[in-house]
Amino acid sequence: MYAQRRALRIDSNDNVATAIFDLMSGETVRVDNRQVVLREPVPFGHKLALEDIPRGEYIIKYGARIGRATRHIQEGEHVHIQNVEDITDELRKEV
Amino acid sequence: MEFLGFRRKNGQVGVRNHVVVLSTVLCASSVVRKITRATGAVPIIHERGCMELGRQQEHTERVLRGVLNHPNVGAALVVGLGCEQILPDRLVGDVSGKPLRHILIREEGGTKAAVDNGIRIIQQLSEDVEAAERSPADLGELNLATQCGSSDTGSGLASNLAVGVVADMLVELGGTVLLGETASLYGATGVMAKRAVSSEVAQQIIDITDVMESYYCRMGRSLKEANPTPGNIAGGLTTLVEKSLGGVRKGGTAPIQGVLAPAAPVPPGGRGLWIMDTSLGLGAHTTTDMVTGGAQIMVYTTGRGNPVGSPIAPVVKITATPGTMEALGENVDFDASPVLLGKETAESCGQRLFEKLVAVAGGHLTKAERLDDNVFAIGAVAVL
Repeated sequence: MYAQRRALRIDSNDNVATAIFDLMSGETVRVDNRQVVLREPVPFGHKLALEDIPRGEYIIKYGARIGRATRHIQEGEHVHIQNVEDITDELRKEV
Repeated sequence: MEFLGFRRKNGQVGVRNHVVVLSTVLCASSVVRKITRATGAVPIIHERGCMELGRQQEHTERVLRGVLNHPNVGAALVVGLGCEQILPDRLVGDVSGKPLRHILIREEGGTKAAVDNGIRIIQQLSEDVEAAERSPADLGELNLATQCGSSDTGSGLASNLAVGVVADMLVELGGTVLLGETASLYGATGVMAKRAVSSEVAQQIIDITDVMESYYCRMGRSLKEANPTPGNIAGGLTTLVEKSLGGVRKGGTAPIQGVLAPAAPVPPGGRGLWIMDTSLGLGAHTTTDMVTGGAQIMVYTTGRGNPVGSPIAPVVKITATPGTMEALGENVDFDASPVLLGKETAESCGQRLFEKLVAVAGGHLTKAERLDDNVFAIGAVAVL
């Protein structure tokens, strides 16, 4: 059995984790071996930054790039449409 | 590793032993229903079989042939009217290794005579089929279809990950896995094309998503504009890439061997993970494509709870949402909610699910089978 977790990191390369409960601002969330203090509420199913993600850097989930930071995202911030853009076209052109 | 299955004369292994009555055309539906009501055989009826052109007609033929060729089908009676595009003798002529019969309503002399003769034929066929017994078969002989429908946050976070673990385990054992839903694949095109075994396969992955996008554009829409939906965003999905990656995770992480047309069988000797360019429409259409393409069993992740199975193959329903398990427990086979509650890893959940699938392959009935909640429907194909 595993100790109950409150957020899931799907792949060890991910720089975000997904809340599996409604998480509160100021809450300390343990994800694998690291602890992150939330800077704002993160609802169930939404993502939180496990580290600082500079503007222009990729958001990594499922071990793959899912979007790009449109501004500097701090560790513990809510990662969503207010600070991430889609990269569908960019990834299709890479092939 | 082994399970107990039905060995066919052509070497295939079924996980069920159905006697089916198949209509070649909409016009034969009522006769099929009357025969199956009287005999307990499995009715396979649909709205197609005539007045179709090009790729749509080819698709319908593949689906119908796929029913007759299916390893879970022990014997079949094909019922036609007599003037349709896809005539029974042509379908039956391509299938070997099992008892198949066909009748035309016109030649029988109408509805009543066709039903009476159909009942007699099914009674003869059933004797052979009922005598068949299960024997040990290798798990690597399984072709597993994967599908999601009525998805929610738990699908991408738990259920699809567990199915991905199962897919990887089956590929490792020499089995076959089908991943469909081309519209959902769009945002993951780049990632999936890089996992293709060759540049030709990579190009095929790009091509089928291009056709799908051009189809949406002709309807005045775009996959990109409509995705993620407002509901997806409220649920926490941020980008189309993220949504698509959560969907394709059902197929696991193996290299992609090739791209199949909807309802097309994996080529002889082909194993591993394949993408099927499934037809447009609902989960039931995709299910029909993958099952008639040869999958003996399907895993279907359904966050909010979809009850629909297939008349030919067992469909194992999985949810990670505790409320769905409570509300629709009579329809859902497998509970992945411990992952979503932080009490179990996706890896361990996947191993539980694998054991469940082995049991189902060996004859354990799914909820949809017990409820006889089945749909057979042939969808439309997207064309340029």
